Amino acid sequence: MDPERKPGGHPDNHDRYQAMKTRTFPFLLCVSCLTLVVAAFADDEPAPARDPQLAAELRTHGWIAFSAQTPHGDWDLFVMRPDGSERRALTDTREFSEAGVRFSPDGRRILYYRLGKTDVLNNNTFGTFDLVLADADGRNAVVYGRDFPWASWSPDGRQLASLTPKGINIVDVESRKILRTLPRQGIMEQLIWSPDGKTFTGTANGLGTYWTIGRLADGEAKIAAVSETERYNCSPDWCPDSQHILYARGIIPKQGGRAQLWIASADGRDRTMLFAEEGRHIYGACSSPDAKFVLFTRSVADLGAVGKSQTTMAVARRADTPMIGDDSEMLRQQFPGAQPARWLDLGPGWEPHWTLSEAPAPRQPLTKE
Amino acid sequence: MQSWLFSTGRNAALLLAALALASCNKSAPNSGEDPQVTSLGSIEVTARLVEIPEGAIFQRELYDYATILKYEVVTVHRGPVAKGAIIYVGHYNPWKPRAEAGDSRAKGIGGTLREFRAGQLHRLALETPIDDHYMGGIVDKYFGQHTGPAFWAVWTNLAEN
Repeated sequence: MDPERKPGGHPDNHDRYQAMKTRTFPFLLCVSCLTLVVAAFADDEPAPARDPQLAAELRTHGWIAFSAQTPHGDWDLFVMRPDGSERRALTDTREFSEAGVRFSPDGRRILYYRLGKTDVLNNNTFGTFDLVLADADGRNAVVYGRDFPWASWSPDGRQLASLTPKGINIVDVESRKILRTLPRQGIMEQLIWSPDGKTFTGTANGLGTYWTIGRLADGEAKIAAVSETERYNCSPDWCPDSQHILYARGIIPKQGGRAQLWIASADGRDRTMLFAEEGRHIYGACSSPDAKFVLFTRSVADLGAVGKSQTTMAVARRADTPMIGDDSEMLRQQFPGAQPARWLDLGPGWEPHWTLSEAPAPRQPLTKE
Repeated sequence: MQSWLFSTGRNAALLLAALALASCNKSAPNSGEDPQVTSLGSIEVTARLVEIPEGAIFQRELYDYATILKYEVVTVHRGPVAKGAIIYVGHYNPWKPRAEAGDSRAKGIGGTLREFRAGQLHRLALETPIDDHYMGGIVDKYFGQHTGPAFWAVWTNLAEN
C-alpha cells in the first residue's frame, strides 16, 4: 500500500498506474492500458465518486492520525485532514514500524506502539510492543517500553490504562508509576478507557464461546457483554458520549461473511449496523469527537496481519448510517432500511484516530525578524 | 546325540535370550516424564483427554488462540488437584505440534505431543488461573458448562496407559 496515494481514487487502479509508469515499450504500454480499462470495468466494488459536499464538511474538522506502509516496507505514522488533504508523515523511521496511534483527549499528545521492522503488524498484537508518547505533531517522542500493553488515555491525559495479564494498570504518565490495578475480567486486547473515565471496553474472553466486546465499569466486579457472543467481535472504541461503543462485528465460524461496523449501547441492549460491505471487512472504527462522523477501515483480506490485507480508510456521516457501502443485494435484503453508499475514500491506512485539535498542524517555520 | 543335545541347548538359550529381549522391549509404558514436565508449572498431572468438541481446534492463520479442552485426571504428580477430577485446560494454537506452538505471546510452552486426539493420555505441566499466564483469544466450547478458572497448559507430553 502506498501512503502517498491520493484519496478518492481506487487503490487497484493506482497500483496498476504505478506499475504502468515504469514500462517504456509502447506495445506493453498499450497492453497495460487495455488491461487497466478492462480491470476498471470488471471491478465490482469501485470507490464511490468523491463527494465534494462531504469532503467540504470534513476539510476543517480537525486531524486524523493513522499508520500506513511506506515504500521501504515499514509502517510510519501519518496525519491528514479528515477529507484526505494535507497528508504528511509524523514519523519517518526505517528500522521501526509505528502503529496504534491515539490522540490524548485534548489532542495535544499522541501515544503509539513501536515495532521492530521485522515484527509483523497484526490487528491483535500491535499493542504489545514498545509504547511511545509524543507531541501531537510527532516531536519529543519518549519510549516508555514494553511494560504498558494496550495503553489508553484517561480523560485528563495524565494517566494511562494499560492491560496486563495481572490486570488493568492505571499508570501515572509523568512518573510511570502504577497507581492501582483492576481485575481485567477476561479483557485480553484493545483496551479503551471511556471519555468520562468511568468505564473500560475491550475485546474479552469469558463472555461466550468466542471473544467478544466487553464493558467493565471501574469498581464493578463483573464484566458485561456489549456485542453478540456467538461470533468473533473485536476492535471496540467509545463514542464521545461514553454511552455507546463502536465495534467490528465479526464472522460466525465456518459461516463466512465479512466483519461489519456496528454500534451498541454500553449495556449491550441496542445494537445497530452502521456500515457493511459484501466485499470488505470493516474494522478500526473511530468516531469524530463531535459524533457527527465515523471513521473506519476497509480490508480486502481479513485482519490479523495488516500487511497483506489491502486496508484503506473511509469516513461517513453518522446521519447517513446505517449504510451499505457497496451494491450488495444480499446486504440490502438483510438491512432494508440501510441508506445508499455515501462515503469518502481516504486511501491506504490502518487504525486511524481523530482529534478536533489543531495541535497536529505543521508548525510554522521560524522567520527572521 | 551329543550334537543333538548341543543343538537343543543352543536353541533353548536363543529362545531364552529372545524372550528376555522381548521382555526388555515390553518395559513400563511411556509415562511422558521428562525434565520439563516435572519442573515447569505449579501443577503436574497425567490426565485423559475426554473429547475434542467440534470446532474447538481449527487452523486459521489470522488468529493465534487457545482452546479449552476437557480432561479427567488420572494421576496427580504435583499440586492441588484431585485424582478423578474433571479439569478444563487451555492449549495455545492447538492445531500445531506442542513443540512448535509457542511464540512471543505464549512463551515457554511445548511438549512431545504432536496432535490432539480424544482418549489420549497426556502428562501435563499446568498453571492456573489461565488469565495470569496468557492474554489472548480463547475458544471455549465448554462455555457455561464449567465454573472456576481454567488451567493453562505449559508442557504437554504424550503418555501411554
